[in-house]
Amino acid sequence: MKKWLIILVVSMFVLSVIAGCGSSPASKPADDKSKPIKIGVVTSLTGERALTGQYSKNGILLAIDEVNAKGGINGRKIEAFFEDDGGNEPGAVNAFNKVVNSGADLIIGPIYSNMDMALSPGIKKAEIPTMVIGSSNDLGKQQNPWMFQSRTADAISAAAIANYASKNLKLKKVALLHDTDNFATGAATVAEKTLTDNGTPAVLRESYNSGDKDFTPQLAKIKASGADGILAWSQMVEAGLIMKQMKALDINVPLIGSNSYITKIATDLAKANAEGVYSVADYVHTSPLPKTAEFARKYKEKYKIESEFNAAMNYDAVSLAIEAFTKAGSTDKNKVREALAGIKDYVGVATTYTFDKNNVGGTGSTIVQLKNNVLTVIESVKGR
Amino acid sequence: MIAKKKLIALLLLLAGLTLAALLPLGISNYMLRVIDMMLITYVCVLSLFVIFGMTGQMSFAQAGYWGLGAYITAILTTKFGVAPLLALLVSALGTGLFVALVGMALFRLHGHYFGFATIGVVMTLNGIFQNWTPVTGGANGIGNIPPFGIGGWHITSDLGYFYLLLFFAVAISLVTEWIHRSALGRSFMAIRDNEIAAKCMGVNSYFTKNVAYVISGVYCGIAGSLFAFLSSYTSATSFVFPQSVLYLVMLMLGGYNSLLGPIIGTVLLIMLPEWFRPLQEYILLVYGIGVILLMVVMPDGLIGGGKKLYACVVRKKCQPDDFDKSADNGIG
Amino acid sequence: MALQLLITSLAMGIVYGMVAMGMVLIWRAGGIVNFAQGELLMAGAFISYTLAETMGIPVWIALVACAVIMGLVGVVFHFITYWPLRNSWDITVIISTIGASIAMKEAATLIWGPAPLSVEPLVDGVARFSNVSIEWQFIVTIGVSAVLMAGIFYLLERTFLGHILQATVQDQYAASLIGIPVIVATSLTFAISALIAGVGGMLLAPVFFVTSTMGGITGLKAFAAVVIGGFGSVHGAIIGGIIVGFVDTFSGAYISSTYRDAIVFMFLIVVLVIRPQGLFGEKIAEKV
Repeated sequence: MKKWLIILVVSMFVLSVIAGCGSSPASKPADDKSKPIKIGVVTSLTGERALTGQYSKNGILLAIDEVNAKGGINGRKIEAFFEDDGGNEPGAVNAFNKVVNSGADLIIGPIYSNMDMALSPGIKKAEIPTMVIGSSNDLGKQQNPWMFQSRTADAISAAAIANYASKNLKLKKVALLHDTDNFATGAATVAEKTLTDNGTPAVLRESYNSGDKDFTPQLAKIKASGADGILAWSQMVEAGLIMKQMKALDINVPLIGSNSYITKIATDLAKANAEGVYSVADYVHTSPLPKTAEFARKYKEKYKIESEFNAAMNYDAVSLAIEAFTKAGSTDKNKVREALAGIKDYVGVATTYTFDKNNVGGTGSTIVQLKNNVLTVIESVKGR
Repeated sequence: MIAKKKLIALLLLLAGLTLAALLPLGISNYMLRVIDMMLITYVCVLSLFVIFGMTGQMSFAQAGYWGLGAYITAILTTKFGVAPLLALLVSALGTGLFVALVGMALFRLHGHYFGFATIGVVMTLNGIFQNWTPVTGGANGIGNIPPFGIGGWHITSDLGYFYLLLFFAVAISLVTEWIHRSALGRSFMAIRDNEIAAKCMGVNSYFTKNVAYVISGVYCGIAGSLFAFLSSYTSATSFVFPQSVLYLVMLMLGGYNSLLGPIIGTVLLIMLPEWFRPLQEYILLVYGIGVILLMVVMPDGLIGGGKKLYACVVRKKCQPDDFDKSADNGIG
Repeated sequence: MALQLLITSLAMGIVYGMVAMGMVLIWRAGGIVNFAQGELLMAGAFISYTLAETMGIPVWIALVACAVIMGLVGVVFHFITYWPLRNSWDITVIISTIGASIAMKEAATLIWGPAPLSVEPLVDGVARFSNVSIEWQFIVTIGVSAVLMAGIFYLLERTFLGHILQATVQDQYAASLIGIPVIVATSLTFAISALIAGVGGMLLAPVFFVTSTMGGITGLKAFAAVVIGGFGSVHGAIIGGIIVGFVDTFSGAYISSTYRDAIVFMFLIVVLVIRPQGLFGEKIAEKV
């Protein structure tokens, strides 16, 4: 029994130490006009995806600095705080809880659909308006009243590239290559259906796991299948690798990739191998649209680097939030949620946003091609 | 005399439980969630304590079994609407059964080779979790797992889960301590200390190792099931080889000779990142270096090292040999 | 297609074999499993990036410089993780190498940043044979690795230095009695081990980019190679590596492209169950 007493005493000691270190419970943030509005952000600050988090942070801070320079919203400044998701789903859930606990008025979630899906039940429970930036169709299907998808869903963009492949490029034997994660699987399924509807069914569908590095088996099979074009959905590092390994295997057919393929991270890795890739882009930094051009200029001025997708999507998410706070006239969660749901035809830097009944916001994307290392807009796709 | 001791123990136990029960009232929800996860991790470390600390068989597959428990619960509750308590039971038994099969196949291997094979087990399990989409949901994982409950009563808050997890952690600790003192536990430790000698003494080592492994598997199954209920979401990214390594590090840092080791090891490694928040991106670097230093300074873990330090200082019985080969109990 | 896969898998396999060989050397010298071997490969890749990309040293000179630096890293690694613990239970050394692997990964992220880095290949371009095309880097990888491994094999088996190392491995105590400085022998072994892992990293860097996580799965597959080849056997490790490369690539193409990692490790279990000492391992007597 003696040993047991020791164990008990020690465990009690340990627990009390923990208790001592834990902060006191978060008091309910009152709608105090003198306090800043708090936006909590769940993003990747460490791990393999840390660079996307860095860019996201840039975009968010740019939007916040702009509005604060104008005197804030109804006299109240905006303040953002960031929690690290470590680049995976359990980390995202953990970070989300932390953000909720610090009394955020609104939360911005990760750009990865898998993480957003993992957050969905928590968002519902926390009852805090949350903007998620994943593109998966499943996010809308959750019908979560508190989760807003400030991105064009894959139902639109995947169908767009499938149509572009079969109608404009006149490809007859397209092969599909995709990550097994939520966004890529869902998008590939949409595209497969679109291709079949167009009378040019896909000849092959190959997949791989996130984080894989060697795509030789998949690409060799695609080459052997005699495909005349490849549609691919990937995250950024894998996109870079696929473009590189395609050229190494001497596969010289058009590649039409998801948005990741023309992100800075992917093209920096693939270098010359990225030349000629088509993509369905959420954000084109060379776009002539006034609002987009202004964002691109300001971003470059502030951070001395070219603006890119992660920054733009997060910039738009914050802008939508500001719009909602302004319309709601307070930080009351329900009012903000209603204001967000009511946003129509809001022109952002990436696309135009109208939230539908499932809280899906983005309405279109752009087909682009990388020519001589410059993104060239081919056509705009209006989804709805 | 004995009765008096028991009375004191009972009183202390009550006092301790009251303290534990009152504790979460003063801390934030986030901290509560961290403590909840700590209790789950603790049960997994206890499972390693049984198979490795007591029996001396290194298993790297514990995170895989933890995942198996979580997936069984997730599938049963979301696809078949099984009652939570039954799902918990099936998770424990199902994981135990699976581990029994693994053990039967792999305990033909000796020493390190068993440990090596378990790395294969965790990698294979993770591959299945990640890719068997119709059953495990693939990369999407399984969401919307209902909360734990019995009959019409459900746990809705993290505080509720804290008490549930505390109950299981204490119960499993008691069981483990009971095993530790029983004849079965002594046969485990006989195998750890010298398998051939144990065989000579009439211990059926193959069978005994399997028993220890199944017990550890059941622990992991319970921890996994509770994890599924707590997080209401499971995905393959949680159940990876590095997680198993983390359990091993916790056990080795704490010390593998008594239950205190797993407690101290788990609490320290879960809480350190919370305490050293300001270090942010340096935290893992410090952690890695800290692990090396601790092994160099206290190869027996904090508990073993502390005892030796005590012996050195108080009893002045410090022998240079104390720090060398002290833990060499014949494995490998 | 099969020929294409064959060459790729040979290149991958030989890199796994190199890392595996490093593990075996350390195992033979100290009786421990080095869980940071994959991180040594990662270190080699990052160092090659600094040498070739940041400092602009010609790649072939960078290769030699990288090998020398990695040798030194190996010696430092030896004195931090192994030497202070040489007399304690082998599990403590395993834990300390795990600590080292975490620290190395994080140090790399802090020094080189979280973004993946791309490195120019030793020989640029793609070689074509009829309908097969292969990056020159793969062919260079096979060549450089084969030469390096043959060199180390010769060093260990045919030279006086090699015999000293082998003697130390077999019995440290007896070796010290006949005047062999054990500390020199073990640190030299760690240096060789880190050197080959580092060169492996430099060869892989242009193919798969440089990330702080590149060592993880490569290290584990190399580990599988060691176990399949048989612990303690140098040629077993190389052959084990090539087998792992083949299983990995061909199962990806013909069985399932998503289960390939799982298949490699299932293969490991099957080999162990059928032949517990691995393909080329000596029958291990139980230590008492």
